[in-house]
Amino acid sequence: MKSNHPVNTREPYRIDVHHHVLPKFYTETLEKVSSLTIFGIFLPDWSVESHLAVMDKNKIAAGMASIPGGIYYESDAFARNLARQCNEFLAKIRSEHPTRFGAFAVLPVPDVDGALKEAEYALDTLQLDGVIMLSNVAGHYVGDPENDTLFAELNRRSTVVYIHPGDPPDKGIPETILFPIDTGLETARAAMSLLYSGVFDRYPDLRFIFSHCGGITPYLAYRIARGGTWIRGEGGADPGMLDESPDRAATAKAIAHLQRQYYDSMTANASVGLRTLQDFAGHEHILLGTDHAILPPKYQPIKLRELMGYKGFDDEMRMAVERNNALRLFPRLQEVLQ
Amino acid sequence: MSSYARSYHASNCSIDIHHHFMPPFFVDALAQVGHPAAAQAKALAWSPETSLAIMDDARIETAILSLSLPGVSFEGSADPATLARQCNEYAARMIADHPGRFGAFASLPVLQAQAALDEMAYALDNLKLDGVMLLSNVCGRYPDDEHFTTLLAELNRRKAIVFLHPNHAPSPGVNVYVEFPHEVTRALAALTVSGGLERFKRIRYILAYAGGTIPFIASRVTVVGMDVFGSFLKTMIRYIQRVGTMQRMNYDLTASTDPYAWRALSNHTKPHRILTGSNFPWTSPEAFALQQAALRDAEALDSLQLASIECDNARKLFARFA
Repeated sequence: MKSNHPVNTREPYRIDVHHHVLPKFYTETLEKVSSLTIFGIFLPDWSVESHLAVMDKNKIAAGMASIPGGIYYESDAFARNLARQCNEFLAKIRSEHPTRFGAFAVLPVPDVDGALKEAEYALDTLQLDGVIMLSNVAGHYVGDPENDTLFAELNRRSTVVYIHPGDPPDKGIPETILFPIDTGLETARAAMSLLYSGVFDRYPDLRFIFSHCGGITPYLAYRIARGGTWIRGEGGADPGMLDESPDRAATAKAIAHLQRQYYDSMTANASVGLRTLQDFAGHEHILLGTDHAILPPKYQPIKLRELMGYKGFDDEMRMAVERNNALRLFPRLQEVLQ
Repeated sequence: MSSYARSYHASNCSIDIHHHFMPPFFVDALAQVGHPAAAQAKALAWSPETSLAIMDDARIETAILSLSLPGVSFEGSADPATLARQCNEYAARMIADHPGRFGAFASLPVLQAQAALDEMAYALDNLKLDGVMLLSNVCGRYPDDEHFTTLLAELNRRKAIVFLHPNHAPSPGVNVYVEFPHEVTRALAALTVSGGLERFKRIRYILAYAGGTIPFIASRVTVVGMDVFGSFLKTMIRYIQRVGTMQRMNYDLTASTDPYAWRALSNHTKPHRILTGSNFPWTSPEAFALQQAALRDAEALDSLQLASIECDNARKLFARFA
């Protein structure tokens, strides 16, 4: 790549915020409680060594490691326990490979008391870099009022919150279409729940990163912005059309809330997904995401080539997306990498 | 005529491919089972004359009618086949009574296999309706359901135009208003799972609401049911083919001219595959005016492309205008 930027792009230089690790204790536990699947995908065998090799191949200097799926099964105690185990694992791989990993802590929501305690431990004691939250856990959406005290606490710490789709809770929609398709909707639902419950309003110091270009968030931004008023209002049997007399100030404010969040670049189609996202939020709010190690390794180079082939970024913007935006969000990485 | 005059003329004469009708006997049938759409439909006080008045105001020359939600098959509906027949004949009468002003998509009793096939033949051959409306799900059954397969095969044989319209999802989700168009995406995903996307390629689809969320996540839809752990080459070829198939469908413009939806739609497909739709009478004339004004402001559309979206694409698609 031709670039005036001082970063040596012959060496791994990318920072990947959509980056999953799959420790054995986690997949084994999942196997017992939920048949070893996430969105119907079977989890591959995994080791730190093979993981790092794929990172090297794809010039990924550091990944913001996260556990990809749910931890809340059976009981509060079960979830607290598994969260602790996951977070200690994340802290361990990070301390063994400090330049290769950052980490998002997992919290045992909807057990809010447990989540508050675990956030304190993971962020203060383990010094992890942020938290991951699923769009929903057992039908409880991330913006639901029950999480308010948790967000107040995370806001106090200016935490980065990575939003990942959870299993869609919808009944009556065939699973064959539900899992692959509605994961994108799940991330948009997370954005809706946070917007409609006023989390973006009340907690301006939180920085959210939404997976997969926001799922469908940028595309649906206007509907989402107006949906908050629709829910209280009328609406016909066919609620398809946008309101002709929207509360323009409220719509603009809602759009602005969504625009100041961050989105990872993991899209199925860069020319449409990234184009729409870039118009919506600007390149400063786009962070590289690869979905490693859930996406099979053979697809990684293709996804990266798609990103590199996207025409909307100049070299500087591309470097911001691939690296510099993430460095600004995660000061610890900035320290160890520069 | 100067090119300005031509574009002015064209942009003031639209064909509306997303226009609902709700005859009194249909509203009564909904009321009988206590369906919430009945009261909403009554409040609209729709009649052919209200449609014509709205069309005159909005400078719509011709509207292609489709039955309002929930269609003829709903929870507790006594006789979907008879209701479909009545609705289709009602639409045919509107077409005959007001020459040049209306076309119509037929309603089918999808869950009654033989009756649905019979009605399709009657509506397309005898009544000469313009195509068929399919809803994204019928009582929770998506197009991967066997009830759709025979119908799709026959629609494919006829190279029929199919207006794919969202229905309410079996589960309301977080926000009905935001999620409603996404039903079209689910329907296409179901077609992909069942192989119908590949098998029934001659069907000419018009996807309501710009395909729901298809423009943004078409590629995600294509991997439904695909074995990403299997043959790499096979996966990539199918992926490219399926995206191409979706890009070549026709897209209804309804509610899709805000800057971000339009950006995705115009990058996903070409202007000659986009058709103007209003969702009258559920949509107000003011909302339709705003939608079309946004289209006229859209960058990268020349006056001919604008005219094609407002009028000429529909003229080419429907035999009625030949």
